Amino acid sequence: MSFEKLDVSLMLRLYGRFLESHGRSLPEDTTSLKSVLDSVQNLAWRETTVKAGDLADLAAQYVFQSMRKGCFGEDALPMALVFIVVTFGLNGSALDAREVSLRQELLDVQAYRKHAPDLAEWLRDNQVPLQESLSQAAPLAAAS
Amino acid sequence: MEHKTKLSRQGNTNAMTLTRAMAHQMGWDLGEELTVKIVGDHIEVHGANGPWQKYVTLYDAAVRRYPTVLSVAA
Repeated sequence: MSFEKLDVSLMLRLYGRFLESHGRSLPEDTTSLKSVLDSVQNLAWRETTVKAGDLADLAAQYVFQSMRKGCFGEDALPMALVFIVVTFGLNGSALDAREVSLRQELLDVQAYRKHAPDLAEWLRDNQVPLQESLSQAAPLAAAS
Repeated sequence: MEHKTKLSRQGNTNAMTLTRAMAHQMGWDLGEELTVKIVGDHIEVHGANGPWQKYVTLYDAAVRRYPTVLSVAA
């Protein structure tokens, strides 16, 4: 398995970006949250490696472990999606799914109705190659 | 090519405000390394194109693609 791992610090910054868009902000001290995210990272990576899983397995494990650890509280669903799109995106894939079924899948995992292998299967069915435009940072152009 | 320009105080303030607002939108933090180029009649600002930039690009694309999940708190 040779996938690019998530950078926990950058995931934390993305969470801050999400919170900011909802009028909230990260706590001043993010030490404990970072520690939980490190744990999610290690568990997801270990579970996927042991089972010789693919990228969908890894993304599903990130979602599953983050929900089990409860690291994002009421923001578990949106951050689960962030885990998926970033894990996929860093490794050349994207998620192309109907939003309503995505939401249902995540709710099912959160409510223990589905587990990581179920989510992985669903992700695999909705996994597409990442468009080149998304893998490149767009330049910012401003009129002078 | 060397470009010389003279901005009024107000213009300069506006330019800085615009740059900061747009930089924030692009996910650049204060202190981020940016490259500014004058190309023809416009200015291009590029981030360091580092890992953070990639994370922000993926996140912003997801916000547009899945607004219900990402734009509304659970």
